[in-house]
Amino acid sequence: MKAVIFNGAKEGDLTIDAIEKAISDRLTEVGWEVEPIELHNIHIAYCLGCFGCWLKTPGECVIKDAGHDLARKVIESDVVFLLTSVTFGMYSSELKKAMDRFPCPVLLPFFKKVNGEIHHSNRYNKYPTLVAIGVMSNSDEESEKTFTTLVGRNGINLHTKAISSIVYSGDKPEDINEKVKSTLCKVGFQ
Amino acid sequence: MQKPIHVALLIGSPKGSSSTSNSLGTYLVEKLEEKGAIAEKAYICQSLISDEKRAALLRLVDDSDLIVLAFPLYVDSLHSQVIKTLELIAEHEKGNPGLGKKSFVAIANSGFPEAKQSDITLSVCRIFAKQVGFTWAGGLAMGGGGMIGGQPLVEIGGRVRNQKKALEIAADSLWKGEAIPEKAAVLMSKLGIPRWMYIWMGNRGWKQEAKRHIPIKKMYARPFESNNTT
Repeated sequence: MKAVIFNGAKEGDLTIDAIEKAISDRLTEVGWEVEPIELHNIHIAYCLGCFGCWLKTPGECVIKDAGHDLARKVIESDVVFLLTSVTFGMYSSELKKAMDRFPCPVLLPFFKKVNGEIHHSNRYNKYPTLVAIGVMSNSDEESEKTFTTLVGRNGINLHTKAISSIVYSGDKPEDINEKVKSTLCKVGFQ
Repeated sequence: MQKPIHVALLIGSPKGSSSTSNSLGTYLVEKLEEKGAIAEKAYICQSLISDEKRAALLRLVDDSDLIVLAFPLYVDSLHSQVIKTLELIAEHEKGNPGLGKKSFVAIANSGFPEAKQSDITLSVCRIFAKQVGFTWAGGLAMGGGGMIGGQPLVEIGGRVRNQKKALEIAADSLWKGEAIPEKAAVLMSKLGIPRWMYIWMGNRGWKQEAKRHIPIKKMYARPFESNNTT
């Protein structure tokens, strides 16, 4: 089994790094192959919105940089972890620069009805479970609700199960480990 | 809220001047200019390419009474460069008093027929305004962005009548220093053609466009499947 961890921390964000380590340690322990990607160390060009991944090189981004391989990593994984500071209720720009680059290549442009709404059809038969863990400095109901809704929407659009949870930057390391453990339980790890 | 005089229009689409975000934002701002507003436009992706351009973008925000952010829905939220811009503005404005005098408006569009799929982006913009200290003057979201496809709204006929009307109502309210009324949001969300027709045209349009580059069956390629199927 394989997991990829998109670490959207800014350099020096110790809480997100601690979450990444907790996930990595737990999954490795049970025999998973884990690939953490610290996004702040990688130059990923922003998505141009050119639709080349639908119309010219179907399933593959036309920009040949580190972002090009993200779609492959996602499709080859069983679980994709998204680690981010909760920024105005959504993902940080650091995480989003990666997230803008893989959904279009792994989907088809054609419209499909899902629960009464129109979404893009699936290109593949199977997509990895999405697990998003957002870090907040303080509790803020509106931001948390927006973040949870966003992750759920990503799940609908990527035709997969999506789970979200919130960690506070002031949490003690043992509390972070506990939250990671309970989040992994939701994915099926005991 | 004071009457907005200086307007900053920030275009959040990577397609820049050929984007539907530009079509919508420009129409609103032109209506405000007709009333006497002074407006300046910045394309976000171009504005982040150098420190000098970033500084110019922040100066534009500093000098404005009303900030209009027009953007496409991007993976259920905002494009990374738009988020980056909001982060920069938030950092820049930290501890700057009197920001409540600035008003912030968001205009979202997406290619899905349902405008409500962009609701989350309006929540994000409202949270941003609150955290930064701007006055949230409301948001508009439209689905069916493919009907505009980056054309100026003045050049498009009846299929965007609802959006034009919505933006005109919004301009009237913003000029009076009021928030965008609900009736504008409702109009903005209404598709100007039947939903089934939009979906049919969309699916047909992708195939026609792809045919210019590749055989249609290639569109369904699965390059990363373990037993690579096309």
